Amino acid sequence: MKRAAGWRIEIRRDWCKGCYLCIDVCPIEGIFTLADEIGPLGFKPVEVNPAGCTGCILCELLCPDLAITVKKEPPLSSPPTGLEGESEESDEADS
Amino acid sequence: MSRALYPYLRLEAFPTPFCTGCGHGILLGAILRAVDEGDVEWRRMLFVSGIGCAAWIPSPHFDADTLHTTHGRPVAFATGAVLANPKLKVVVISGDGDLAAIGGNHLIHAARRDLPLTVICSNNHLYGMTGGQVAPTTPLGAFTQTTPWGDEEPPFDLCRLVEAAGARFVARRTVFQVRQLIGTIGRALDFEGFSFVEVISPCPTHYGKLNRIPTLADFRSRMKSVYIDRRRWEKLPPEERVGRIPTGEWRAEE
Amino acid sequence: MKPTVERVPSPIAPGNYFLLGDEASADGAVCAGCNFFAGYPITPASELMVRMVHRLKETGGAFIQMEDEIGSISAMIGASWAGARAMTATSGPGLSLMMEGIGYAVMTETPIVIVDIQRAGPSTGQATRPGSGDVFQVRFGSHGDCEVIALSPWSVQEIFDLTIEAFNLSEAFRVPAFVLADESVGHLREKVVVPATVERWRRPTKPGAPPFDTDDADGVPPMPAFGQGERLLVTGSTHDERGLRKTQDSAVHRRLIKRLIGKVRDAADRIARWEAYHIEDAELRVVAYGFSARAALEAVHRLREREKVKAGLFRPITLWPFPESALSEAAAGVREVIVPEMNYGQVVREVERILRRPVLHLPQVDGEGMRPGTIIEGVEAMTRAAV
Repeated sequence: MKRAAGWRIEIRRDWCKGCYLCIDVCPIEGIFTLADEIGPLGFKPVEVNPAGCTGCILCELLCPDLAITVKKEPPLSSPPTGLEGESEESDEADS
Repeated sequence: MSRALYPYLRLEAFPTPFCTGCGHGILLGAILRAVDEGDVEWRRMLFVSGIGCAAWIPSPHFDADTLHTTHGRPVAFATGAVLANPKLKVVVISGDGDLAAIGGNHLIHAARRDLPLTVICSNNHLYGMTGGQVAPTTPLGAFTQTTPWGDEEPPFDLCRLVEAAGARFVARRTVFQVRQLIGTIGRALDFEGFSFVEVISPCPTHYGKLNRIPTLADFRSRMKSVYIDRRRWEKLPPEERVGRIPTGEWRAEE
Repeated sequence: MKPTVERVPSPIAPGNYFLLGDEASADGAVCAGCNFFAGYPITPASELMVRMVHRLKETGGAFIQMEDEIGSISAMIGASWAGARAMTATSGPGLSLMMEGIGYAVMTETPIVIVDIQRAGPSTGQATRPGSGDVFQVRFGSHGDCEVIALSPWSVQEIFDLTIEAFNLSEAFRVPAFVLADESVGHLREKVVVPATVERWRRPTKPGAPPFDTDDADGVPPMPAFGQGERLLVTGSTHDERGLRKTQDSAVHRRLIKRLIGKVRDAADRIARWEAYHIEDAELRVVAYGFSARAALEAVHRLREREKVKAGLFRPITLWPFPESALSEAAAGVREVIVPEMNYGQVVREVERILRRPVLHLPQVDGEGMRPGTIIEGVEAMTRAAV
């Protein structure tokens, strides 16, 4: 399996206050959406699906809560078949 | 990356107390990104702020020397600090009410003196922390708690005020012009004399509500039509300049 | 923590001088190590500021004439946290403008020295004439509970000496210290002896230690400066030991304010200074301070010699903290206590409060220095009334 270089977008749900500026400024539709449930600060935080992200990082620069980090993902070439290979990066899932 | 800013932050103070969508949070990040890209030693920096929401940008969120002063006086405190220890890189971060109303006198004198200070004014056009009262920057006709039928006083143009007082570097950006804002802050920090950066910032909680701006997205789009780059603004005929404000940097050599 | 103490050669050539009170205070400041002055012109303190321009140029300190007195006190506090020994000089109207800043210095425990050359008030009053109207203002003029240190000189030599003492006390206790002179002393010319060496006290330091709380009995935490990598959090809001704002925590507020008040109150007996003259025989005790004390001493001499009244003088030198136990002792068993002042009742209230007995108040508020006659006539009137 190959994967082209892409982007990972990390959201801190414990810092996001649900201003939705990221939804407003992101040039690609569908990357940011509203979560269904209320987050720890009493707002519906954003959720992210990074497919199609261009790496413009406007979301990161504009987030008033520094809750967004955009990271380049290196390209991935075939892992051994049948094994769940370990990711090259530490697993920083959306918290 | 926002995580890359963590070494500059006092993480225990996060999440910030700023309201949802407050522009001060954007400015907080922009300042740190400008510092990170520049070459001032973080240990030398002193952030001085007055009273108000904007004054909480550096105190306590920056993990650096911070001086949170009385209302309107950060520029005067900063004056003393930089004269007593010229090795300090002193940056004042405060709001429009704090710097231009109660603190107006200190602002214009520091500009006149050309002290080696950078003053960043986060301008949300009212007094936010106390509930949204009128400020000398409130646009004519705007609604605030103390101008419930529309402000009848025209506002300052802060850049022209500070420039007239003698500042050789003044600039205006909105928080949404974030890349330009970061560059401007960097250049203001590098400037060897007094530099002033006015940062237009939305206050959705008070300004937005009182002036019936439904969402932050609407606020951003409004600001985008009002605040336009000075190169475009200068090309407009006078009648089209009404209601539009130029952003950019102005240096004395021009 | 205790201040560090060092003895240094005087930066001003030792010897005898004939100086204006304002000038002597400036020279005292320089001897104390003052290296920052921010001020604003005001009668009758302007001469002090002008002297500082020249002295600081000689010694390499920083001078700035600010746009107003609020700018002055603000700049001083900023400078003190940058490591300077900072000072200003003003009079009543300027002091009134500084009130918020004074409270800020108390709350942040910032050493600063304010010389107040008092003049006849209220308001613009008689700018070139003396009064003692600011005694309460320095302690109670700012909002909230503030304890400060205030010293009252009665001669040009003493304004020189007490200015040095003000610096030392403010450094030792991390509080604002005032030299409460009045125009009579500020604009008086007298001999001053500048000593060969000066003892200087400096704020305690301890890198890495919290600057806003301590378990030390004296209640004085160490004080770092900007630029040392301490990531200082200086704020006028209620704060914890690191300076972090804690505006919703009653335990923090209780602890902080109690310690700030206790710093000075608990050390009052050590800080308080006074002098007494002819108090061995108890009959009539005059309590007077500053220029009034000169007239009081003369009145005491005349009463003793001409009228055979056993009069004595108790002269507080620190007005804040007031030398309470010394006053109680000096007034014990005395028949009459008399307080002449160039105001309508400030120190007399402290005297009444401390002694809990009737006290004769002799205000002289006419824009002139206290006259011995005011005191003698007051005593005579009192004697006649008693008969």
